[in-house]
Amino acid sequence: METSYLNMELPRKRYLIQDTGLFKRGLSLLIDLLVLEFIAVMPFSRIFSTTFAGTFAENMNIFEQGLPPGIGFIFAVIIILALIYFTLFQYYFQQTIGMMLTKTYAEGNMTFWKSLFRSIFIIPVFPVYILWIIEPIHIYLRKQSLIERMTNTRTVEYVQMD
Amino acid sequence: MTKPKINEEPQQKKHRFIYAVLILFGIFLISSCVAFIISVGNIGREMSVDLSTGNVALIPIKGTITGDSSSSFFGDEGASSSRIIEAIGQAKKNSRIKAVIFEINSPGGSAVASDEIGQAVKELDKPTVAWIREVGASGAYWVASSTDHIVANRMSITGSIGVIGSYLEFPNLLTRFNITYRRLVAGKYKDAGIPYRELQKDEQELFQEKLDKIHVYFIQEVSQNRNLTYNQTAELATGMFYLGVEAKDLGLVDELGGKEEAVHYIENVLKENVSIVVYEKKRSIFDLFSTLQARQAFYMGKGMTDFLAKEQGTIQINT
Repeated sequence: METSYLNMELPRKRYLIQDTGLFKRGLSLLIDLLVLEFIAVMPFSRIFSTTFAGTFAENMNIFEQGLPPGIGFIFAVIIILALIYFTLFQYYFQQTIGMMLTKTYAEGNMTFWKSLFRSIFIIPVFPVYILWIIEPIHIYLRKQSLIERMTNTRTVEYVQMD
Repeated sequence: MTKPKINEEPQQKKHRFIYAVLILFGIFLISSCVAFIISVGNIGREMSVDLSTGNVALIPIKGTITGDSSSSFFGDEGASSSRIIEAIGQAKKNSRIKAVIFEINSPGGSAVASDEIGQAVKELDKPTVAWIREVGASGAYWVASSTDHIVANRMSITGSIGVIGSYLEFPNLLTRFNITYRRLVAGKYKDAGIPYRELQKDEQELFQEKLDKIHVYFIQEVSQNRNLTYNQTAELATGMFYLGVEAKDLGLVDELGGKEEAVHYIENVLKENVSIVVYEKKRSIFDLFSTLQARQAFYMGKGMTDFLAKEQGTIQINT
């Protein structure tokens, strides 16, 4: 019986799927924020440099007095764009840029609404920013975030076996 | 914690790189468009995108005071009363703004426009300071006198409390070129003041009467604003201009100095630090194009006319 090496069913690589820890999640988020800095924040840099042109104390004074409505509008635009970024990337690719680089994936039946819900942590309004404290604790204890539990999704990594 | 599973690596979707770049580019495009719209300024103003952070508004009044914005040949706009009153209105509505400084560098202009601005300044229920730079005369001084405090440089030109209605008259020039002014009017004084014919004595008296009335209003406003008697103001209202140092002695300005003194006055009134925000219409890219186009058209016309005139040998244009 002639055996061609092309017909041989060689064993494929095997991967261990495990929940991603806090460090890799944090790293991928940092990379995503860096990407967003370039695509969503940088076009407004001239406006920000004009508005916050004073010393650090003067700029802090502006925040204390309350931001001008125009700056609030710009922040709202940036947050919406960030939301679009996280939602679309997780929906179409199950990965953001940061997750691609850290080789992590969003797993679960990723519908558009699930992707959107997973991304709401980026919104800095009450009560969402409470998640910034709760989520790291939850991930550390259960290797899964609260939002992931609610959407029945996970963030996993593939670890190559042997 | 779920148990780890053993599986194969997920298959990479085709063209994911292209889709990823498209999404990133789309987000960048949206943010750039929004930033551009806000930066352009005019459209931003219509959307009420307020980026101001200061507590004192600085409203410039530069150039000849007119009713509506009018472009000169070079696209430069004078001090339009409509725009200045709009800026005053914005300062009034903005609760952040605690006081207003008017930076004045104007020889005056329309009496109506000056009065409109003066009234708007008086109706503003916040401390106001007029900071006179090189010139703050005639109508510009009318506006300055409406503020709570006037600061002028010792060499600033101010005063000139008077009214002018002079014009050029050239009926003899027309006659020289065999041009006839054909008068067709209904109403005796309908064409009074037209440069194509001589001004008659009764017409001149009529115009003088009107100018005197406006002059009286001007004197009344200044005397009221500066706490002077009518007669005191009338003595000064010969149309003569005064240097800042002279105006201070006459009671027409309050303080000699510049921006620092104006700011210091407001700090004393408000008892807080001053952070200035300039209320000025930003020149958009369309304004710049308009200015360039106007200049280009002017010099083109000048060049052509100069060339033709030299060919004909009759007219020479010098600037």
